[in-house]
Amino acid sequence: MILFFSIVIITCRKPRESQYPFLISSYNLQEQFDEGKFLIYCWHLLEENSILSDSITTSNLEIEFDTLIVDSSSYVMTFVWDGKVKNYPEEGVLHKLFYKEDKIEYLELLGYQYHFSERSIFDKDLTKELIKILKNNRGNLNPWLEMEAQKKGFYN
Amino acid sequence: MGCSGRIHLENAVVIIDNVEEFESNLVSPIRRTDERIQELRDLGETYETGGLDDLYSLTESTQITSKSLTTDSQGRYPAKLHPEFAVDATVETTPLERSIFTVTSSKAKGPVISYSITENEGNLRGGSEGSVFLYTGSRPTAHSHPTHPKKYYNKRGFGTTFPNPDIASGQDERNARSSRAGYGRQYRDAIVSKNYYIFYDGKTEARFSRSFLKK
Repeated sequence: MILFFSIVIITCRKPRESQYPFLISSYNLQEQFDEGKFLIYCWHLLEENSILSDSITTSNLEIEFDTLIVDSSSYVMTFVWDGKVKNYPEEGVLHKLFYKEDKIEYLELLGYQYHFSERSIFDKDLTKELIKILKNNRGNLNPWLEMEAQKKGFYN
Repeated sequence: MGCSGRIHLENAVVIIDNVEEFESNLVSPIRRTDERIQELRDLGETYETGGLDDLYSLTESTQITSKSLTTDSQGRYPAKLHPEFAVDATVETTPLERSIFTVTSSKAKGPVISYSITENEGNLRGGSEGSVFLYTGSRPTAHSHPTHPKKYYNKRGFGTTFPNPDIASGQDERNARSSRAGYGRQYRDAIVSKNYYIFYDGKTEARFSRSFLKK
């Protein structure tokens, strides 16, 4: 009876699978998480992955959440692409997103910080370009990216 | 701790974990013989940092044309950058004769780590656009962080800056934490900009201004 009871309790305590990392859910940053991850994919679509390995395309580019560092009015979310950059022996390329008041201020990647205050990655011209790329490559891109693009109406 | 003494080690730095032991061994200025200074030095790891200065000078004196950044904040085209350079240090743990420094294995508790780009230029990496980062291999390495105070623009018009050159970048930190098989964290790595920045096992081990060692 005691054994049966223990099994029931353990089963009940098992957390439900979430599509968001625990830290993100804890701080209620799911929306910002999706925005950030989508921005990184779009960045690579626009930049044609020129700074990553030649063999990487947006279909096999898998960005994984790494860390969240929270300050009073800002936070940093990092994602990692677990691949190898050309001419460089280490693996794991860090994508660091700096948020201020829930807006993405810049993306830090391989020694550069790209700021979005003067030009948004989703301004009229770049969105038009992104939609074209997304539509032309539909079915061949990272599934999460395609799902998010669909959700945001980029395929309409 | 900078150690010059009378045997002219202006560029040697000793990193000591046990400060209490160091302080209890301190002696009056009158008794500061070369032997006593050497004993103090043996309480930690000695870094000959002359090569770090060379590395920084090389970065500052080299200018390349950026392929990814089009203009600087004044609209000047094309953007010019100072590149990063990296060097693998040599490590001597056996008795070593050097022109400026003699260490015997019986006395030295820690290794002497010498950063040099003049003795073996074959170990120099980088120099083109882009970062070189910490290489968490089986040898200590160092790399330079150039100072780029200006704002640039890439070909799509995104304002682009560089992270604080005086600290490890996020990528540096990640690489320093890396513990993949075959990549032992035996040695400390260094970043040089206006500061020396000694990095070990994902954490800052020591940080001090380069001017600290200047006469």
